[in-house]
Amino acid sequence: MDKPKIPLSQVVYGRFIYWLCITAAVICTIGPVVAIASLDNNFTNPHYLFTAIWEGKSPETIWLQVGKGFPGGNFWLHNLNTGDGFIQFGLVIGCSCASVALMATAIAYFREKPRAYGWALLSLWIAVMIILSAMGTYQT
Amino acid sequence: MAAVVILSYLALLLISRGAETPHEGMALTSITGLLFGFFLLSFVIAAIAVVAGVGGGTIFTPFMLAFTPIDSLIIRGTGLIIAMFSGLASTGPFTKSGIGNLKLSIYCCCGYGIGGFIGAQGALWVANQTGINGEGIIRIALGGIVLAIALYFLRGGVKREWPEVKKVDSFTQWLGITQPYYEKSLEQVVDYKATRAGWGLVATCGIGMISGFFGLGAGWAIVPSMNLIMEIPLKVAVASSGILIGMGNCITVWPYLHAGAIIPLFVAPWLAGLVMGGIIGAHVLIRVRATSIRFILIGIMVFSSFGLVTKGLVNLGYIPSLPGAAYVVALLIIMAGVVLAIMGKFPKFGGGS
Repeated sequence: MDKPKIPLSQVVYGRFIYWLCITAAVICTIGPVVAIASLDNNFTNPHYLFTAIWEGKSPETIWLQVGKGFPGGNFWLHNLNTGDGFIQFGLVIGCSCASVALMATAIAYFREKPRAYGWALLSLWIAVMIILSAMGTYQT
Repeated sequence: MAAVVILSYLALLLISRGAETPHEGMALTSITGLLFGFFLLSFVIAAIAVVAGVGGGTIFTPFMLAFTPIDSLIIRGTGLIIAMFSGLASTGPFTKSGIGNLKLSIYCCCGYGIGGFIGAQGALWVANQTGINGEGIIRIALGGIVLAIALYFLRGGVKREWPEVKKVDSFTQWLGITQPYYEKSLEQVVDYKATRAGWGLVATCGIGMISGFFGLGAGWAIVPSMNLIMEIPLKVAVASSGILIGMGNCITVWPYLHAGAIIPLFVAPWLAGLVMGGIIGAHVLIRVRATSIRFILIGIMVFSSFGLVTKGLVNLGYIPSLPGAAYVVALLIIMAGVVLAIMGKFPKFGGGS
């Protein structure tokens, strides 16, 4: 029996996720080097960060003690040249890659034959949920 | 990717050598050692997690909560990111091979995403509002649920690996959620059926809530729910759960990120190891038989349950904190049981496929 053909939408989703995930991982691998190489160019001082984490301090206390307080989840937008801003950029790529991949998947569903409008809409719905979550729209 | 990892750690080693350490600060050589240790640990966690069909967070979160004094919100946020990345890393191989079913993952994500987001917001609310007792009760309840699923899964035997769907309900039929795939270990095309998709959605919504709240990842519950409720073959459930965890946690993780519970320099070294371990784990899964995965999964569920129940009892003040050795002994006993079961030396568990 011949191997069944993998649907285009599934191939598209897998490829987008794979490459975006690799990109995020590469940035998060290089990020610590940037952070350690330029110690003064960070929001949190690496010398004191790990000690504070290991002492069981709360996130607010850590950001306050080893930095100048938490600058917000999307602080990387204006601080890409800092060590932890660069790492945060990598994290953001990883945490939002499914939304990009799902939009591409929705296009693939529209182009597939027979066209799968319902699955395309479901893909877009989840992509929108990720975007709203990333924007902090419903943050308590 | 491997070259980037090697070059980065060599660069870290060179930078940290001879660097000055400020008063009461950690030396750069120690920081480099920690980062490399995190990388190695995450590589192992991801490889095991993907083969077992659970999020890496299922292994990371109980371990870190049990053995380190790190704040639980940081562990739970990091655990979710770990679960997410181990799922994302395995998505490529699973979708390409056809074992993973994207439609099934998208469908379940509609419930999982909403549940997970509510759970994550709840975790942040509970961290600010309630005491340690509430958390203890919830942990014990969760430990009981996980253990019950593990025991049911253990007794499910042969039928659960390749469930026989007798009747497909009209809603599941209308969804058209299944697709055939080539099963390498059997060297044949498997054209499976699914049923009870409505209940599957309700279950994944509840699982998402628990996952988002505890930062545990969710494969430990998604795989059984797909397998037992929707009657999806175990291997497809394992692969689709990896895709779903990667997708769904992209929604769940953001409340933690916006609350500052995810600290970039602490999380970063885990990710490279996770991606590499996840990809290798996914390639292993394509070649191994479903029986081995079932036993690994059961072992992980039993150990997670042990960690949750003991921690809950400690939180409530019923027992003193357990020494690390107790967890190691429990893990070794469970691992021995899993190895014996895989080798077929454990007659009661060795159903095989």
